[in-house]
Amino acid sequence: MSRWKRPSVTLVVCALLTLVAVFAFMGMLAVFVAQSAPVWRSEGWSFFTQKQWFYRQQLFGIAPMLYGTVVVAAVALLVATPAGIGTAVFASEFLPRRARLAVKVAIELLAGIPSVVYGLLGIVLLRDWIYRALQPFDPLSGDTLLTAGLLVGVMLLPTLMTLSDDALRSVPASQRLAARGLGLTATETALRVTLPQAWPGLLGALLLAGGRALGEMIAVFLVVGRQDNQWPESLLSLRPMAEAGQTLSSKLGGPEINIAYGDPLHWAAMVALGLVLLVLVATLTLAGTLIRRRKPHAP
Amino acid sequence: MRRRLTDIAFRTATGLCACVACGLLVVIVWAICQRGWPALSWRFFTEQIRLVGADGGIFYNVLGTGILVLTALAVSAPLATAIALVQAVYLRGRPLGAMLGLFLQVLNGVPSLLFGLIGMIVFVQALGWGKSWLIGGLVLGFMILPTVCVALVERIAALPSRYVEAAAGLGLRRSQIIRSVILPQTKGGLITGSLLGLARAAGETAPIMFTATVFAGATVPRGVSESPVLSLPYHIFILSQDSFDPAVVTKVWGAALTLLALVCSLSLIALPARLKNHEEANNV
Amino acid sequence: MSDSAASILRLENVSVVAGAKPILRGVTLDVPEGSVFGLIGPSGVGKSTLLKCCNRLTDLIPGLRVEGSITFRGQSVLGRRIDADALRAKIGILFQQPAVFPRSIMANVLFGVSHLGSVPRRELPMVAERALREVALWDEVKDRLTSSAIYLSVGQQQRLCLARTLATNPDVILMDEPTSALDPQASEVIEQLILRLRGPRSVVIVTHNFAQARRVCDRVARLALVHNIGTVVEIGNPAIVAAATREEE
Repeated sequence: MSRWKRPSVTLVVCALLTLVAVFAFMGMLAVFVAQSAPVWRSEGWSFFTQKQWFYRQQLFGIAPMLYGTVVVAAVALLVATPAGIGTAVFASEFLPRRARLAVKVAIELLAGIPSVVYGLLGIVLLRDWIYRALQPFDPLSGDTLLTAGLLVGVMLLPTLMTLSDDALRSVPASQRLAARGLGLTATETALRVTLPQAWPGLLGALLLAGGRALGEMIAVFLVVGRQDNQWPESLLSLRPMAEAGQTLSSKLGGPEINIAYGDPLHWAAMVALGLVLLVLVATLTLAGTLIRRRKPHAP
Repeated sequence: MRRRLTDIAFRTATGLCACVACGLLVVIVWAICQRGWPALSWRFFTEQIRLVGADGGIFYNVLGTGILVLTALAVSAPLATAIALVQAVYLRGRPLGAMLGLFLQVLNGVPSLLFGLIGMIVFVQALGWGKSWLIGGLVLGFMILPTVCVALVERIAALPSRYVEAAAGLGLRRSQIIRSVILPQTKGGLITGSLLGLARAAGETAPIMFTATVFAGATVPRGVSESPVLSLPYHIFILSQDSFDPAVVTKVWGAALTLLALVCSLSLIALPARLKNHEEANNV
Repeated sequence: MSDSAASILRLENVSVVAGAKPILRGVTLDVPEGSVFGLIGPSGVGKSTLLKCCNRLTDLIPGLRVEGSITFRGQSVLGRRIDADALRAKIGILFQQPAVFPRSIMANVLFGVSHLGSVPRRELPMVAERALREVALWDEVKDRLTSSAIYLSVGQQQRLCLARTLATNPDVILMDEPTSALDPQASEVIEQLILRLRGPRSVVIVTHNFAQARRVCDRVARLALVHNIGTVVEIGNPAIVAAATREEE
């Protein structure tokens, strides 16, 4: 019915720039896949299951790094989840508006502290504390998976708190009022009305925070010890917590990447680390975002 | 009675969490200020690094970080504006617009290290630029794209529809409405988002360590290829790894305090607008 | 006065201040036990706030200060040492918009009472049935007690909220314009329920609808703005107060 309208310059420019951004990201993915292809061809699935990484012998197995990454992220979440969600519950359910904003400002500032500063604090303070606290387990140094996990946990706190607060605030005030009107205490209202309705948001917050924990490099790099091929005797053993380890990101951020460029297979293995990290984090982020978008089902 | 005790116990427990969180901020800021303050002096900011960080100042580090951050701003502002307009105006309410939003969220989650890696693969190696401030700016600009974009999209979505309708009622075309109504009304969102993005970019080490920054031996870049800069985060990163010399330790805390002050002041300027947006979005 | 001996709620010289701005001043009224007491007046006069004072829901609004004396069965309501949560179980409230929880119908009805611990667990189904019968919802929902309450119509949801309040067995039910979100038929059902509640329970109802006040209330208090502050200007028989108001307008 309508004749074809010439698209405006604004539209064309906007669309072009958007496509540039989208294709740059796709290009990034493509480069990772292409550059890591040799190691997939030569190692296949054993890339994930091999417990040894000796580039001089052309052995590329990332199982110990996956283990280190998971342990660090798990410790971080274990520390940050109760504290972050607890803070969010306290701020959104018990504090009057002004005090709540004050807490949020403090948390935003905490979120703004650069990771290298956290790393510095970790090196100078946390590492010594952990070394002293772990004396009964006879650690070699304060650089352990536990140290890295605790440090990342502190870094996750603001993320978790902000996202959880959003989730809790999205439960309508009328629901809380109705529960209070029935004679429930503020605690019962929080536990029985607000938290059950906010759970998608809270779960999403956990997943997003988990994604951040996997990808954090600088702070982990400085305190994790960067010890290759640390595979625990038992997956359930807590002993490796008190030992140095290596994570995907600390390996990738280390000086080895400069050596790797000369050897195609080694280089491919390094890029593959990046690809694995990207896929892991993107999956968690995507899942977290989608779950968070589910609005609480309330009138 | 039991209910009351539970109530008090729960309040206390969550309150303690909040105290721990706020206490952490105090402890961290105090720890940095206490150690970094003695290093701060006029010379610290005006001199260049000497004796591998044990003497001299951080002038070129601050300058380098400034260059990187401003380049990132120049990269991210136009891209973010374009994406925000496409998402919140041209594709408003369409599935493709939602997908674009999702794309931004995923981009936001990508570890900054990987941005550095891709910058290294494409620019440093494939294009043969070597380390350059421009690569750092590009990489950082891309990294903060979601931050800037989301702030702008939120602002556009919050724009009262009567503005747009009034303009449309006057017979303006969509591109004219964008230029005369939407962009002027939402530039606050662009500024807020940019400040937050810059705060993030200024503190990042991972994306620039392979692509743009060196520890020593660079001043003002004179070209693009093989022209790295110094930077505050990388300075701290390197020095903190062998911080046994007391002179170095003082200097590195001074640098950390400077970086912290820079980042916090950037995000504090953006804070009021950001809090207001969040509170309104959840109609408190 | 014989009237005051049987009053269940008594407000004496109640004032409410929000920050620095006075909202209500010098409100004194008696709610006789077993009656339906109406609060009428133009919007913005503080009727809802006055209602929420009676069970301390005003505590939840930051910056609101309530002064004067409110007694429930001769016991002070406003004291700091009073357990406001226990009080709210005895003085229930029904809001303008029904706020059902996104759970099953059964869970909604029992939501309050199951926390109060006043009823043994095995008797809960009976309590639910009695409450649902009391609001004439039993026959409509008895076959789908476990399905979600959010799919009920707004009128049904409002009755469910009333049942939820009744299940906790309150002495007084506060109602904040309970029919203004409903269509005429659903409103009529609620009005009939109010008339049936009278006697064993007392009701305080806020309404801006004089016809409704005449139909359901035994006594009404008319609030108006005096020097921009809400206060009670007249208490009496609903027909007379409403008629007088009409003449004034």
